[in-house]
Amino acid sequence: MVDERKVELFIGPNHPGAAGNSCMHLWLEGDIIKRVEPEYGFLHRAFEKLMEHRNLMQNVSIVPRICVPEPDINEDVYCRCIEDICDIEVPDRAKYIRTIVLELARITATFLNLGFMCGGLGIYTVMQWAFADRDFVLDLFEWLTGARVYHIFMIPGGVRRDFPEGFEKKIEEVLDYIERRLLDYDRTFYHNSFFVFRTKGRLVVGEREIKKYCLTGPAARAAGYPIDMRKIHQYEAYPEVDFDIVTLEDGDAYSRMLVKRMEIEQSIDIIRQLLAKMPSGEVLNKPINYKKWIPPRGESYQVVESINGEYGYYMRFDGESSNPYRVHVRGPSYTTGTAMMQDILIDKPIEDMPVYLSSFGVCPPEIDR
Amino acid sequence: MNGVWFLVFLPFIAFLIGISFMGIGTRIVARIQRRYGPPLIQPFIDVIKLLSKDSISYGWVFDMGVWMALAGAALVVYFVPFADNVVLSGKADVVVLMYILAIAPLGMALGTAQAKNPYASIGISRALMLMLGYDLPLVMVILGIITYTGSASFVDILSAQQGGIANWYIFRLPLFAIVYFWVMIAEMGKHPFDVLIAPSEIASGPMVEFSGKYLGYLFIYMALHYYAACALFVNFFMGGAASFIEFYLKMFSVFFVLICISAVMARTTTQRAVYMYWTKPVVLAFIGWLVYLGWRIF
Repeated sequence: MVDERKVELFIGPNHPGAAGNSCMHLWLEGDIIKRVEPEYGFLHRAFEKLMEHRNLMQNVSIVPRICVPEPDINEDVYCRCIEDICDIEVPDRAKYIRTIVLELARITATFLNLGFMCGGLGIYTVMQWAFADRDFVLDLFEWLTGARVYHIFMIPGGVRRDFPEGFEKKIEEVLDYIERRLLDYDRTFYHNSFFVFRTKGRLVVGEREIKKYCLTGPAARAAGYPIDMRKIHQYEAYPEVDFDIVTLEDGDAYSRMLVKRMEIEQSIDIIRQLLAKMPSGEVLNKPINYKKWIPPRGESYQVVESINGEYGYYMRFDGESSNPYRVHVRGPSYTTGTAMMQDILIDKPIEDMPVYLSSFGVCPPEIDR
Repeated sequence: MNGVWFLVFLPFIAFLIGISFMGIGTRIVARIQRRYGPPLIQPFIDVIKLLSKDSISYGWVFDMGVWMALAGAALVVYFVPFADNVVLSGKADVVVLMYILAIAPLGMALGTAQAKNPYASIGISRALMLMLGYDLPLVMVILGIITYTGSASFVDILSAQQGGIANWYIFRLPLFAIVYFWVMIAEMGKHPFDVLIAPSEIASGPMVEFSGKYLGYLFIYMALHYYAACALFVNFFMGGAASFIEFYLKMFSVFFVLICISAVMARTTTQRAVYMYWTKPVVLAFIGWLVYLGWRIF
């Protein structure tokens, strides 16, 4: 029976507020959301199945496409899975370069997320600033890898190439610039009373949600839970770096955005530390002919800290083919974009919808793998 | 210029002024956002393009809604003094104007009602809610100005402000000017009070079902609306203008301040906007009443 009081509304798949090719089917009473049904599948490219039909080197070019805003984490975690199964040693310098790339990627992804948040709230000025400042880091990537977004730079055993001449100096310049710009963001965005009103005390998550929906990353850290994969799993060169996990207490949308902003500063600090004690040497170990080489039988699960939390790959090789037997990707949006949305957004006004999507960083490509 | 020709061309002149504000406004906002922005005549090109397209109609109520919005905006233009020309002048044209200002949003509401699009209906309900919010301080300010001047005619309001900058109401009645400017932001649908458009929530709200020619008419309506809002501020608070150039520059200065403020604001919520309009501006306007009009009563 049709309820006359409820209005059906679609956010997506073709909607200015939709975070990518996804659809949120809403039932509203006035401005209040009474029921949410997320629909995915508009962007399904069957990556996991596709990877079973390609050898492990061909897959390197596929994995970045899984998460569009933050591609580098996929490359890193994919390579670490293979290195774990095949016992490939990675040179120290390659680990440092990978870590620097991951942290630079975290800065670009945070700016992108900040831009989406501002777009959702209508602060188009800060949105344009964030996208423009992200481009300076993309310039660095272009110089290092030849590509701006999908770098295909890390391969099992290391990275494709060493830093070019003068690259460290350029990184320093960009980091100094970003540090200066962060003050502008504070003034126009984080101290903006309308932004504070729209996010402070809204969409609060606490212990219940964190346990029920396995929240990690900024969502957990903003609620006071120091869950950081960089500390827990100690991958790449993170054990060599001295940094503290940023935590706040409130667990609301404002704290989540603030944690992300504080982590830009932390990333800058981490990159500076890494650049200061960068070892010399090779950057790629064992250049094997991957067409002929068959990896041993085995399985591995590796995680990486994305800007939204734990991002994991499960891989399995059967020892008969150079193609993976099974790959499974699990991103942080998997719960925030589906089940948690149906729980938290109930009885909230429709204005909270873009705040939800951006503050939890719901990334549809990563759900529709 | 006077006579019948002026009457005929006034909406066109107002449209050109409004569309030039749109063009310059997007450029200024683009500079604040550290980009170049579209050419100055881009909104004009958009209107020409849209008017040459086919469009979808949902019936005669829909058509009438668009025309009502356009006619309401054009009617406002006739009541607002243009530089030194007061077209439709009467004993109480300011009071009439307060009623006419409500025609255009109601026309939009009528049009969207037949389209039955949920985005549009939520958008228009927000727009009317917002109107409910800002009408109270607006009426308080206009009544204050009328009482202060002792007349509800634009001719008297303008003549009371003659004789130097110090006589402008923006300096004599600064509280009213602040409240009116506050109301203007919502009236023009700018940030932070653009809740009726809200692309990330309701996909541009009332505009969503208007296509082709109808969207073009709404662009014209927007241009007239920009003109009317800025011209009203100039006439109420900046002493009107003796020449066209002066009038344009004064209007533009108002518009410039407005878009600079709105460029760095986040969108608020409807409830908050109504609450805000019924508290701070109302209190300010009330203090204005006490300060500026108190001596007449006691």
